[in-house]
Amino acid sequence: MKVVDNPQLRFATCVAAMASTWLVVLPHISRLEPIEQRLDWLDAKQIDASAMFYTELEAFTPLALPPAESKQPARSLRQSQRSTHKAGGLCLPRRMAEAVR
Amino acid sequence: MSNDDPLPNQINRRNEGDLFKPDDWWAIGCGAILLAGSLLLVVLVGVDSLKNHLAKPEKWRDFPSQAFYVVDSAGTGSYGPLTGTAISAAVLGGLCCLLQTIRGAAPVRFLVAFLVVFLLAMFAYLLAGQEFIRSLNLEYALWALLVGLIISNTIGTPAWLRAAMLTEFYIKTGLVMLGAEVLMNRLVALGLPGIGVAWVVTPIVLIATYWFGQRVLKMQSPSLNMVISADMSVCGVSAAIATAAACRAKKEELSLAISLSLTFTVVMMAVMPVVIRAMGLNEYVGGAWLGGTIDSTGAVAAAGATLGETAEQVATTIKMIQNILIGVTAFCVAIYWSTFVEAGDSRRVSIAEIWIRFPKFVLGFLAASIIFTIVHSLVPGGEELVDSMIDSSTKTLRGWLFCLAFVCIGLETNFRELLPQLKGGKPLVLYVVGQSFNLCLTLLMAWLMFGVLFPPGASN
Repeated sequence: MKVVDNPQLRFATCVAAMASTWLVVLPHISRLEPIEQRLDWLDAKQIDASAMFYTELEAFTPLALPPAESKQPARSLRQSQRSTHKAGGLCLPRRMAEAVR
Repeated sequence: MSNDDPLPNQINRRNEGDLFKPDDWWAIGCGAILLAGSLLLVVLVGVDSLKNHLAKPEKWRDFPSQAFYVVDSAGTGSYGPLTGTAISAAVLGGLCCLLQTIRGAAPVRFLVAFLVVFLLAMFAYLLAGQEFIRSLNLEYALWALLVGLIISNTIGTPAWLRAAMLTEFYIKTGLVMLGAEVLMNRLVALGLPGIGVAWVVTPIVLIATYWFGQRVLKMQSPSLNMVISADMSVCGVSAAIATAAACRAKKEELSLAISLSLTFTVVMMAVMPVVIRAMGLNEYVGGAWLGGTIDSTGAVAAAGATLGETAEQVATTIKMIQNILIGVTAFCVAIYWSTFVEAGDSRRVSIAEIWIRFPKFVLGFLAASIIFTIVHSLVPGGEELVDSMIDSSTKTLRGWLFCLAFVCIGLETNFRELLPQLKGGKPLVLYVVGQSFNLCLTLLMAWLMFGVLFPPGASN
């Protein structure tokens, strides 16, 4: 009850809770193997999952319309996961380019 | 964003003689100075001139001190984020101090208060920079609000700090600067499929959700209804900020909309890739579905990347197109609000009245967007100039301005003011119903565009 009535104590409690969360709990969670792997993966791909606007994404370049002869078959994810992901195949097909023209 | 809840006739009276509503014009002026200064420096000194001179705390994993010390690929360490943060404080503090002094404020009092608010914003960035927090898409806006709320609801916000609590000014200046990042030529990046998913679905969902909130849920606050509809259908926090300013939403309404959006984004970022895999959608359809539905840009990139590089690119490009729709959305909402919502029972509203009520900062936002789109697309070398200006300075300063604004909103808000907004759970119902409709319609359009009409690889 006294904690609720005392503003300074309420403030100190909040600060202590935040300090223990950010200095102890979150660093500990970040070192757990699956979490660490995900963080390293995001790091390697230069993805900031907290980006608010597209200009805040480091490695992002907008998908461009393709050259007319580009052919990239659409595969299901199950199929594509069996092969390694290459940077190619980002171009859109001729019909799409023609439709825009 | 006013603190009270004015009746329509009070709004009319409040806005009489509002032609030179100070914050709007000062925000346009401040934004224009920052944009012009940045562009001029890039033109005069070179595209890399401002790089690393303006910064914010970086990401960190184990110790907060890592946020201020970075090691580059060559292994050289530097305190770039720390000095960049200090320079950002000096630039924004100096300019705001100058403008406030012209408006009659005491410069020393303002600077002292600004320094404290800026340190709180820096602390919020530090909280948001912890890598696990970042990976969950919990953006700095949330932590800035929390930092302010803790102070205002425990020890109370000191009166002397109010000299630098310029919430509307920071938000509107940030939005004018955001205008330079809204490059309209990128709207056609994906051609017809992009237009189908982003241009057609987004306005339909926005209008339908707003209608549902007003007619079915009968939400009392149309501005809360609009802010939730926009942040859910367009692109999360940035759309919520722009729409809230355009329809003069209350600060608690903006806080609530952002909290809802971030909560659902965390869930959707984790669940949607699993659902897409289970449905066996190809990367184009899956990516377009992610980009059109997950609110936040960073979360879209992270979710898309788990499906593959193509899905990531399609998803982020669709989200980029939605990002750019912020300008159109803010303008249309401002016009609608000035013409219909604030007009109350008035049958006929003159153009003069619409102009008086119209939030003028939207003009600065649109002007910045149009000018930098022209420079980006038509001026030789303009693309490099604008990209460099955004990358090295304006996006950092815009981020600081938004962060300062959210700290101020927290400092001005009492927890008790937030509770009535949750009355009856209507905001939550609105978000869930709107997002469900968004998910169905976007999936249909993504399948139609990328699966039926323009299937990738099926040329001829």
